[in-house]
Amino acid sequence: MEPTQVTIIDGDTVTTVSGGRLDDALLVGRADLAAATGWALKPEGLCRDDVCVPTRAWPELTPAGDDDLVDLAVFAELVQRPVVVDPAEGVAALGTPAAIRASALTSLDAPAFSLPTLDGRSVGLADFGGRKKLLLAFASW
Amino acid sequence: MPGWQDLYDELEPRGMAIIAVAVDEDPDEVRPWVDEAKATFPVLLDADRTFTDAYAVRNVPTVVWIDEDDRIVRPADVAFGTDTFKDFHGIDSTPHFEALRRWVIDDELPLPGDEDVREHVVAPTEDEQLARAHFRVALELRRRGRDDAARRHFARAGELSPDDFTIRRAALPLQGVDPFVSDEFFALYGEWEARGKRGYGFSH
Repeated sequence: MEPTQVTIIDGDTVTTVSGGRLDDALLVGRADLAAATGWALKPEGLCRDDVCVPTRAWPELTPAGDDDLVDLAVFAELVQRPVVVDPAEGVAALGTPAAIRASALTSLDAPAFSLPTLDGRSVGLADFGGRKKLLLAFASW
Repeated sequence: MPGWQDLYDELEPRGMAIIAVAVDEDPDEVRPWVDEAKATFPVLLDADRTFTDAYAVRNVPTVVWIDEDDRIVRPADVAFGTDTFKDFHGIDSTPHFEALRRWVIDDELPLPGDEDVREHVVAPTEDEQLARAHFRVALELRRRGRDDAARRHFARAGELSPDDFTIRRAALPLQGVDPFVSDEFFALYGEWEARGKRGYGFSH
């Protein structure tokens, strides 16, 4: 395994850690994985909050054989997240599954957001409670 | 943007907020549009595309109506603030503005019940969600100056989600290509038109 910096992009969280490259896989330590994604590799499996995904049948999750370094692509498959891994560049992005997005949108609860204004203030949906709101997505292009 | 500001001047006193979200990375690219319109509503920057993803935005301008209780009453749909480019895209701004007035002033819902609203949600596909992940990788690589690597991910995102302008058209200026007048944009537009202008929302 070749040591390399690995950047994990997950929503608005971008985390860069020391990890490794093994063939076409990017590996990160379990503590770094937990910090970046909230998923902890425990004896019972990959766990976040009250949910655990069994990993015993997935030895390829820790292909370096040290029980610490986790293959990001296998991790994403286990937790059912779309993922793009660029091993040469040391970057991986986790997406939101289409089914999760569909159920969130059809719940009709407006997804919460908080974003910077052009002058750097933070503004979100919650700042407009009790009013009718027109969200307007536009672009310079 | 000027049309939206006029609408805001009219309906803000009646209780409507506008929250504008630029599907862009660089505030300096957005500021001229905001300044020109003298926009007084908040303008946010969705540099990481988390808003675009959460609301399944595929083109601009896209509107979503949200009521006092933070419920979606009209899901993502393309609507224009003026008729300046009507000959080009064929969408009249008036019906949307009229419906908005009826909602804000008379509480008339654009879609009568939750089931009707749900039917108008255009949920993303797995390919579209993977395309968004490729786009995020491309943005990160571009920030690092890894332009060739970024280009590969912009291209893959476009293949996976060919009708998403927040991916395909947005990627043009990020690769040094004019998003308004260029062979690349005309080719993209022609191809999209030939496929039936998908991703323009439920009402078009």
